[in-house]
Amino acid sequence: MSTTFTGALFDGETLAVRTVILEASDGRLRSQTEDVALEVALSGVRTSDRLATLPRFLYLPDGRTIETADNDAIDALLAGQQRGRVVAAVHWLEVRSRIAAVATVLLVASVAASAWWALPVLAHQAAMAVPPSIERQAGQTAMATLNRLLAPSQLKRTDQARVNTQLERLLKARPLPARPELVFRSMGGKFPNAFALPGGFIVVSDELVTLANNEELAAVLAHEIGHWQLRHGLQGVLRSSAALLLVSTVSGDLSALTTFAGTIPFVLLQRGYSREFEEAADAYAVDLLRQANISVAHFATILKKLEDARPGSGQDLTYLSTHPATSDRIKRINPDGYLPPPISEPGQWSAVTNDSTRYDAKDLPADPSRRSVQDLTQKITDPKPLEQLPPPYPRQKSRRSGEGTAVIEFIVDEQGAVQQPIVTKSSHPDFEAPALEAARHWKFSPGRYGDRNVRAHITSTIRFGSGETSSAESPDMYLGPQSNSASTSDNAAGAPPVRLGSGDIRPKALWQPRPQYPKIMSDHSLEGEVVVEFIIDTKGSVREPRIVRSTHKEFEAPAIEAVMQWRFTPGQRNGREVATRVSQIVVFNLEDPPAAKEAANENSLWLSRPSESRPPTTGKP
Amino acid sequence: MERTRESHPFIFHGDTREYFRIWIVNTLLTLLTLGLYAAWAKVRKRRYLRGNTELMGHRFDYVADPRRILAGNVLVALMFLAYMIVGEVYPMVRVGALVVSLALLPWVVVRSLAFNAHNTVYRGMRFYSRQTYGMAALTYIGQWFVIIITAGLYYPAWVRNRKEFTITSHRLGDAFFRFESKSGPFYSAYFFSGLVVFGVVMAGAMVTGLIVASNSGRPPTPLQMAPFFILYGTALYFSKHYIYARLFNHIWSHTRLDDHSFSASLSIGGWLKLQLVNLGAIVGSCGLLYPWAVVRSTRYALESLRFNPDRPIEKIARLSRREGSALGETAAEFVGLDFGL
Repeated sequence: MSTTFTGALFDGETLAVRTVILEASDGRLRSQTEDVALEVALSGVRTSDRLATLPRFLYLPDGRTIETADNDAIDALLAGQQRGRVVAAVHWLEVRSRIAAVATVLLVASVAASAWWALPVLAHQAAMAVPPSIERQAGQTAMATLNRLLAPSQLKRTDQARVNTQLERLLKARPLPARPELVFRSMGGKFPNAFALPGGFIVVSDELVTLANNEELAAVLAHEIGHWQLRHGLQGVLRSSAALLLVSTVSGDLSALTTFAGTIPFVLLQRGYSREFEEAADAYAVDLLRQANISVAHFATILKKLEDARPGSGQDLTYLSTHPATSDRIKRINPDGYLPPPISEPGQWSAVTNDSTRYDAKDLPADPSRRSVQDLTQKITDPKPLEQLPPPYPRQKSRRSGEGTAVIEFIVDEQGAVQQPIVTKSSHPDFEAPALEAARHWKFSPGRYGDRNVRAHITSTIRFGSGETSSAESPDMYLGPQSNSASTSDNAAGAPPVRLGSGDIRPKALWQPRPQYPKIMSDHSLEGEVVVEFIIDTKGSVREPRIVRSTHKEFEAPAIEAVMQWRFTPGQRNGREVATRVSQIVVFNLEDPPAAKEAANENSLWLSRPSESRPPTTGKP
Repeated sequence: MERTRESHPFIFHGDTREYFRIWIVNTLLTLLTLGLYAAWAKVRKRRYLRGNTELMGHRFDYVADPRRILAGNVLVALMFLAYMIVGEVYPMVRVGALVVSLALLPWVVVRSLAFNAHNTVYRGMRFYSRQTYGMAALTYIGQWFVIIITAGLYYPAWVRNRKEFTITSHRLGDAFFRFESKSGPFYSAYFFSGLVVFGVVMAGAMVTGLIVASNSGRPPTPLQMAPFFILYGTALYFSKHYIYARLFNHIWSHTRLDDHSFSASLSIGGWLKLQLVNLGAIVGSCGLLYPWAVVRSTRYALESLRFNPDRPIEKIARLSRREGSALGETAAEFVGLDFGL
């Protein structure tokens, strides 16, 4: 078989051209043109690959080149030689419109998949594999750079101690493999801010410490610990490197990175990644705060405060911002919009009892085969309260120091959440709003009928009381019963407010470590007291302690820290353990343990001694 | 000697659809092979653009060996990753890397030029690019200090010197490229585009000032700044292409191959219009229309270019019989560094 084609012959010596007719047969290539001497073995001839309709070049072993537009002839020639199979396949793909359409879809899909899925996963695994010592080294490097930009902290040592206390509180709830290191810096009085660097450095600005209360500081610290523990700093570096490589791979060469189109996807990736990190750190913080018994509502309030403190706030362009919009974050952290309730005055108390549970026939799945009353009652399991904190005593009533009650009715749905709470009876309208607000945040295990969750209607009575009318009782300790399981009896509904009586068992202190006396205060012989409100849960642990008021800010952190460690026997009513909301005075007194004071407090719930570890104050007044 | 009065156009046969198919298939293959195919993809894409360029009845050819480019890619990728990761931990490495890459820069420039030229063929003859390391260091690093000392005033002259460095390094056979130009036209191109950018920045600053004033002293939000940034980005984009078009005409009109000359008449308005459409298409398609834009730009620029031979170019001959196997070319081929300078 022979192939004949026309081409231009270049001799490789000059730019001169000869037109030649060539014939390929018997594995040899020969010139058919009279005065051109050319005969070579085809096996020694290199050819350029087929590409679109480009002319082909034949590179002869003697340095001469033939250019020909006759692609088909060259392909036929190569087919006989079993050469260029792979390139022929690529060419086959390149000339088909449908393949191009499919390739476009695949390209978009695989770029998206690798940017949003593969790169983050790889970066995450790589970041987690970095040894802590290297991570710490990276953090120290960044810290050294930052130190040149940020001014030293102007905070008082006691304020720094306040932040440290909150860190301790979090670490007690969740011990970490390494201890984070707090770094205090001033940011020009304008930027309440905190950020985490690799290696566990948490930089806190003076402005933030001034702005935030204790629980809010804990929330911010929890968020930053999240950034560190999830290694977002390292992941960010790895991701941007990998994204840069991806973009340059697709666009062909590194110089393309400098062009306008090349940088856009890169920037977008960075934005998306930052938002994702913030959300992950938020989720970590929520989890850690729950573990430390701190209401996530404080996280929401500090985010709002930070937003308000930021210059030019109000118009958040979420798609241009590295942080998600604050409102979105608050919604995600605190979906039911629960804000910390106002704080009760000392001596006030509140308690909640579940009186009755009933079911609507329409809510019970039909099961006609066993529709007897006996079957029904045997198969029903009532909802059990998982989280049912009594509401705070309403502010408006505090001056009048009245007692009162509110009876509310609500549905516990199939997920255990409270739906449609309504007040059926109340002794004063002021009690209604706090009762409803508290009820909305209660959590139950759903009622069950056989193996299915069913809706249940529960009636609860909330009692409010103020210590000032009951001087016979200890002013410091009030007990509110909270049933541990839903009662099916109806006897308490509408009952008059119950004064805490001899039938109730008050929480008893089991373990009450003393607060640390702040050194700066003892150095200056300053005494004071802090009123703390907290809840003793059914396990006897302290939850959600809050400062009601204090004589000195410096005493607040040690008081909270001490209260958090207290343990009680839970209060009881009618033989059931109940959660109790109480307020206590913690006295900081430099004189040594006044036995009289302790005796005077019949519940011995509070202590007023300075820490025994306090260094002697010799040489100072 | 016989003199010709002919003028030959550069003809570009590339087709947007054809190139899009090639681009998309090769890019996808690159991605699916985790970048290993990138070198082959690059050769095919570049060969399409060169092979579709015709002068005096014959096409240019691109004959680079993809395996060389692969070696270069691997080298660069490894160095880049090492820099990113190690530099994060030991910042001194970054300083060190800066010094090393500065020292390597002239070598990379010389190698890239040589590789690119060596693999470009016309009528069976390779182009060559030969420059000394010292000359490259002087041009690319030494003159930077002059720019710094003159507070940037030397920049247009530096651009001219870089072009001269690049152009005069090339030859085709025994015909050498020359560049006969003073710095003046470069200054005037940069001056006009600088004036436009400056005007836009001032206008943007005034608008921002008005916004701040109506904002009762608060700084403007990102949304209020957006028109300024868009205006600023567009001005930069246009000034870049304005400079490109003006210098394209000037540089080619002052380039000689021996006594053969070139003439370029790229319409500045047409070029800016073309680049505006390209920008819109690339941004609007998330980069997918990039190959479309490349073919359009290449065609528009090439068809404004003409070659005016002084005498028959068939006289251009190989410089020496040894050059096909000379050491320099082997070294140029050793690692296919190619940064598309």
